[in-house]
Amino acid sequence: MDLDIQYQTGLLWQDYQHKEWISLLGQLKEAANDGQNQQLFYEAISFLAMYVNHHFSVEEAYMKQYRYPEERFHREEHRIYILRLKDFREKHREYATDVCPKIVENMTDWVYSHIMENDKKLGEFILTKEQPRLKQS
Amino acid sequence: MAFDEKYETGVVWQDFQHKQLIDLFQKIKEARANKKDESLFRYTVAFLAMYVNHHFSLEEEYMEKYQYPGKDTHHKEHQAFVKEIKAFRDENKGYSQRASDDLLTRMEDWILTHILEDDQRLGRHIHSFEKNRSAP
Ligand SMILES: [Fe+2]
Ligand SMILES: [Fe+2]
Ligand SMILES: [Fe+2]
Ligand SMILES: [Fe+2]
Repeated sequence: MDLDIQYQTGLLWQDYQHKEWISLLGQLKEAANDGQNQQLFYEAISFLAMYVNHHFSVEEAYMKQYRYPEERFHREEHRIYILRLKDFREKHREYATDVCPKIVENMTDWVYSHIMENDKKLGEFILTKEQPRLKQS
Repeated sequence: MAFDEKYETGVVWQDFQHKQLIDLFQKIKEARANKKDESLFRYTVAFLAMYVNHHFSLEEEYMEKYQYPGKDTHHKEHQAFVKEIKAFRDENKGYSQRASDDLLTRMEDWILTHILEDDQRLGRHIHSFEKNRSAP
């Protein structure tokens, strides 16, 4: 499944990671709806946390490399998400079963709006530094 | 062994991921020398499985979209390493000093022959495919 065109930044690595991130959230949501296998759910959050950490680090490496003017603000957005994820990972066992899927949904909405409001801007900026010689399909 | 900046291609995401693997290699090598490598060994084995999956897919995405001439050979190298790591996991269910030494050898070999050679070439190709870039 490809990332919907409106969410693409045109950078291969960034689009690829966003696509994977959203698919991991999909898996997490399934695990949340299932609600039976606590261990599976915990593993899914842990994996997601690692993935997201990596993704943010790469975006931040680009911001640093090319001196992105909005680095401070963008980093702060990332930090907030990491904290939410950490909080969820620690507390999900205390939540009622119908709460977890809601939280995963909110975390997914966050990704889409973060892409629209922040990552697309960053992607455009990076593309002024390294424009591929091909039309993105 | 210090890899310094020899592994850098100037492709930020790729350098970042290579550095991650090289740093981990150096960390476990040092821990091994101090005979404190058991927990790091477990982490490294688990990490590698996820790492190669993601990192190789991404390099392959670039090879495909940027029409890299060495694509097939490079892809085969990736497949061979994935197999190697899988076989290693099957053979070594837990920690042993021998297994740890074995892992170190395999990682070092990969860094020297693939990351510092094949991936350098790929990095240069990515550079040549992107405008507004200075040479690596
Ligand atoms: Fe992002
Ligand atoms: Fe971001
Ligand atoms: Fe490679
Ligand atoms: Fe590589």
